[in-house]
Order: sequence, then structure tokens, then C-alpha cells
Amino acid sequence: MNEKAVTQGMPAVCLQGVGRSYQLGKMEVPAVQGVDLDVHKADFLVIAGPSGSGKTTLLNMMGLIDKPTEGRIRLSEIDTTSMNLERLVRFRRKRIGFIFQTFNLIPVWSVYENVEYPLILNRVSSKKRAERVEEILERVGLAARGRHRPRELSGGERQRTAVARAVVKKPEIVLADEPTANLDSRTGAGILDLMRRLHAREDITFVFSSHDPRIIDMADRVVHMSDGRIADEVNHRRKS
Amino acid sequence: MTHLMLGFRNLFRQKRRTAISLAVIAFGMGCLLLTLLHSRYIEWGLAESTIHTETGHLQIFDGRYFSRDENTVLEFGLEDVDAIRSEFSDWPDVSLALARIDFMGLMSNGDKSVACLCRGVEPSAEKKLRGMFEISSRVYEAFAAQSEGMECIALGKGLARSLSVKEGDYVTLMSTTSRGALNALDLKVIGTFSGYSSDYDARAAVVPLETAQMLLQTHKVKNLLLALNRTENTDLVYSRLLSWAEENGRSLAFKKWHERAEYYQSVKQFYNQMTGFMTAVLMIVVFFSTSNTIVMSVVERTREIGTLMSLGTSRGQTLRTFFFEGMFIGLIGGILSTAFAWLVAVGINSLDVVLPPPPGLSDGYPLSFRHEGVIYFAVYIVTVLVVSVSSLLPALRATRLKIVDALGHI
Repeated sequence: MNEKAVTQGMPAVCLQGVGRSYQLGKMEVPAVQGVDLDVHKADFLVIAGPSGSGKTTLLNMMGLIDKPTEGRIRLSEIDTTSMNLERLVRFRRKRIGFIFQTFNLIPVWSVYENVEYPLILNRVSSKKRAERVEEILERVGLAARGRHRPRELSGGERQRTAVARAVVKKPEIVLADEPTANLDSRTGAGILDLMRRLHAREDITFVFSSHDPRIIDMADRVVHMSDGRIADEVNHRRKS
Repeated sequence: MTHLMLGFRNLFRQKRRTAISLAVIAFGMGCLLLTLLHSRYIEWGLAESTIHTETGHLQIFDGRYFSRDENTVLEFGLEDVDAIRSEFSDWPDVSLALARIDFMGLMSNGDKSVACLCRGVEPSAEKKLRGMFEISSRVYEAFAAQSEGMECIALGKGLARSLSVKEGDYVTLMSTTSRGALNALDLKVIGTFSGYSSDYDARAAVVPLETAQMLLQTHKVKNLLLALNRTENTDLVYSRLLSWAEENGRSLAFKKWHERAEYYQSVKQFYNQMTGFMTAVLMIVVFFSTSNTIVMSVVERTREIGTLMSLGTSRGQTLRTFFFEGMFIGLIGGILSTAFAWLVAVGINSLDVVLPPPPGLSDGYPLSFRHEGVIYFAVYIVTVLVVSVSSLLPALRATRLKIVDALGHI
């Protein structure tokens, strides 16, 4: 199937028997084992679980920055297991957005430049880039902070910049690893609210990990992980 | 363009480390530049000195001089020297044509005899050439004014000391004539001179050309020297001489100055070896210093590299970012090293510092630098290249990072 083909009704991400283990000396330590999961288009899904339960490893594999040692991962019906490095880079560049716990903004770039970068990688024309960056900065409430460097922003503003960077290219899926862990609860809730609004407006699938019960309550769908396996799945509400 | 700008902006992240790297480059490559400029000054100074004291720019010999061995003095000397000289009188590049004779002799003060190397010169022409060694104008004037029966000679300082003679004393110079017989002349010492080495001074003597011809009983000269207006025209005039000789059927041999300047060649070779070694050492220092800076940048920015790669930055783009960073360090370091070397060179040149004579030489030599644009440009380019290349290895290391590991880097 063509990479660009996105089929309505098909899962945005489909994990089949996915496992990931690491070699520690002579021991093989499983981080994720036998995970079967379908993430539907426009899901707002949280992967919950305590530290070491395999949340981050699972997100990394879904984001194609780590490879499963067993099982298959399909994104938009495309099997990514056998993709070469170049194809993986192209896939991530166009279709996947990342939000990190520690924001991971480029400190020598302004807010505007940080948000613009994914569009440059995707060779969007400068005029369209400017329009899109201004639009998204407006939506995340940073229109007036475009020229500032990350060190001049608060934690919440930095994470909003990271959110803007993740969604600016209109990816099919945004993966956020503990996006609120470095923020106070009020700011964290604000970030979740922002992600929710963008999810609704931009029609982007959001998958994030968290162990904060208040954050987990805000998700439509919660997948609980324990010892590298899916322990439980709860649907709070489904967006139509 | 984005990665070019990122590379440039990265310079200002760790300002102190960037400043140290730039200082190492500025000092290291600046010292290299100074070494090359001084070496060039020595080479240039020695070349001009050799040309004006020893060789002229071009030398004309009898056609057989280099192909056959002489059985007697000046057997293959140059005849008709004035006729040959007149041919060049209207050549615009030729400023002077002067004849010389070099011969071996035995010099005596009556009690002691010393073997010596004598040179017969044309006083007025030698004076115009800027004089041999440190022979004063007074000596040339005395040579020019000498009368028959009152021939004179100038001795190297070492030779005069060896024979215990001073100005006004007489010495006897004996040599083999062009027909193989022995001949001798009593000559009045009218002065002493210093050559380029104390060994040479201990053997050297100069007499007027006609005195040498009288002693050797010949009308020939060893060779005719051509002095040019500009050293750079040597090859041009050489080619013209070859054409002229061919067109006129003259059996003559021509030599460029550097083919007759063994001392110059050996000094040049010595300096080339020395500067070559220094160049290698300083380049290695600069290479590893810059490489270390980029390695530190890669280590510090490991998580950032992971972030950029997760966003879809390719390995090539990551490589370019760090390469550009190195390139900018090279570009700025090159400018600083050029400025540093220029300022030091101008400063020292204005102080007229004279270094003590090296072993075996008579006089000290100036610590001066010859500003040559081509050397500044070449060192600048080499600086940029060395520093840019030095960033490649750490940049390659950055591209080989696993994204997950890089994102987890603390």
C-alpha cells in the first residue's frame, strides 16, 4: 500500500504481538512483551502505568525510533517492521509528531524557529511555513512569544512550544511521553487541555504516556501497562 | 541553510570553549604563518643577496664549460666578452653585464703561505651590482684607480688575520697561468671584507679583473653575469637568451642564478624541512583541539541530536550541522590567525631585531617577515580545511547515535 494512503476506519497504529527486550550482559531483559493494540484515528489515548512498566518503550516503537524485537507494527496500514533507515526517517518526518517530558527544544532557536523546523524538513514553501507557524502559535497562545528563546519561557510555555512543534506539520499521530511530568498540576492540566483542543481541531491522533491519575482521567481511552504487558484497557468516552 | 545557521549559532552556546578553540587556532596557525613568513624572508633575502653578491640573475659561459674538464686555467673561458656584452645593452630587462674570473692561488706574506680562492672583478660594475659582500666603495674606487705596477687586492678578514697583514701591507699572489706556467704578483692590500661565512673569509681574496688576467696571462674571463631589473623576469630573459644564441649560432651555456647557488639551495632546503615539520606539528595540534571541541559539543548535545533525528532530521543533515560548526570555527580562526600573524610581523619588523649569527656564519641576520599574500591566503585555506575536516569524525559519531539512547542521554 502507498505510504500516503490513509484509510478511514483502519487503525492509525496497529501493534501485533509486539515485544522489546534488551541485552544486559548475558541476561535478556524484556521491557515490552506480547502487546496487541489498535490505536484508532483521532484517538486521545493514554498509556498509563508505573515507572518501568514499558510505556516509554512502547511509545518509542510506535514512533519508529526503536525497533521491536518481536511482532509487527503497522502505521496507517503500512508495515514498518522491514523499513530501512531512510524510509523510517521520511515516515517520521511527515507523519509522526513527538512531545517530550523535558520539552527538548533547540536552545539556540527562537520559539518560531523551533516550530518552523519540521516544516523546513518537509520542504514546505517559506510563505506557507510562515502562515502555518503563525496559525499554530496563535492556537497554542504563543503568538507574542515567537521571537523568544526557550530559556526565556516558563515550563508551560516551553511545553506549548513543543506541542506546537509536534502538530505544526499536521501529522497523523502525535506521541507524547509524560508531557506533563515536569510541570505543576495546573500547568499540566493546561497542556492536556491544549492537546485536547488541538486533537479536536486538527484531527490528530494523540497517544501519550502518564502515571498521573488526574491526567489519565482526561483521556478518552486508557491502556494500563504493567511489567511490559497491557494489563487493562478503559474507555472513558469516544470522540465521534 | 537551516543546518548552516544552526552550526553557526552553536558556536555561541559554550562561548568559553569556542573562545579557547579559536585561541588555539589563532596562536597555532598564526605561529605557522609567522614561521612561513620569516622563512620566506630568509629565502628571499638570501636569494637577493646571492644574486647581488655571487651569481647575478643569469650567467653566460663558453658552451664547453660544463661538458668538458679544463686542463689549464680558463681553457674554456669566455672570449670576446665585450662583444657579447654589447648584445645585451638594449635589452630592457638587463640592467648590468659584468665579467668575472675565479681561480685558485697561493698567497704569501713572505713568512707564511696560504691557499686562497681569488676572484677577479670589474670594480665599477660590481659596485653597481651593490657590491660584493661588505666590500666598501673605497675598495672599488681604489681598484678602479690602480695603475700598472701598483696592483692591489682586498682580503677576506680571516685571510688577512691568518697572514697577519693589514691595509697598506703587501702580499704575493701566485697562481698557474692559462698556459700552465707559474706566475706571481706583488699586490698592495687596500682593505678587507666579510663574506657569508667565516670559512669563506679565511680563504677569499678579490682583485681587479685586469690584475687577474695579468696574473693568469689571459684575455678570457670565466663567465659573464647578467643582473636584471626584476628577479621575477629571470625565466623570461633565460628563454630569450636561448633563442638569441640559437639565432646567432653562438656556442654558449646559460645558467639561472639558483642553479649556481649551492648555499642558497641548502639553506632553502633546510628551511623547507623545518617549516614542513612545524606545519605538520601545528596542524595536528589544531586538528585535535578542534576535534575535541566538536566531540564535546556532540556529547553535550546528544539529547538534542536525538530530538532532531526523531523529528525527521537525516544522518546527512546531522553530519552537516556539525561539519558547518567546524567550518565556522575554521573560518573565524583563520581570520584571527591571519590578524595575529600580521600584527606580530609588522610589530617585529618595525623593531629591527637582529639575531646572532648561526654557527659558521660571520654575521647575524634580521628577524624579519616578508608579507606575501599568497602565504596568508594558503595558510587561511589550510586552516579552514584542517578545522573543517577535524569536525568530521565527531560529526560522524553523532550520526551513528541511536535515537532512543540519545534521547535518554543525561
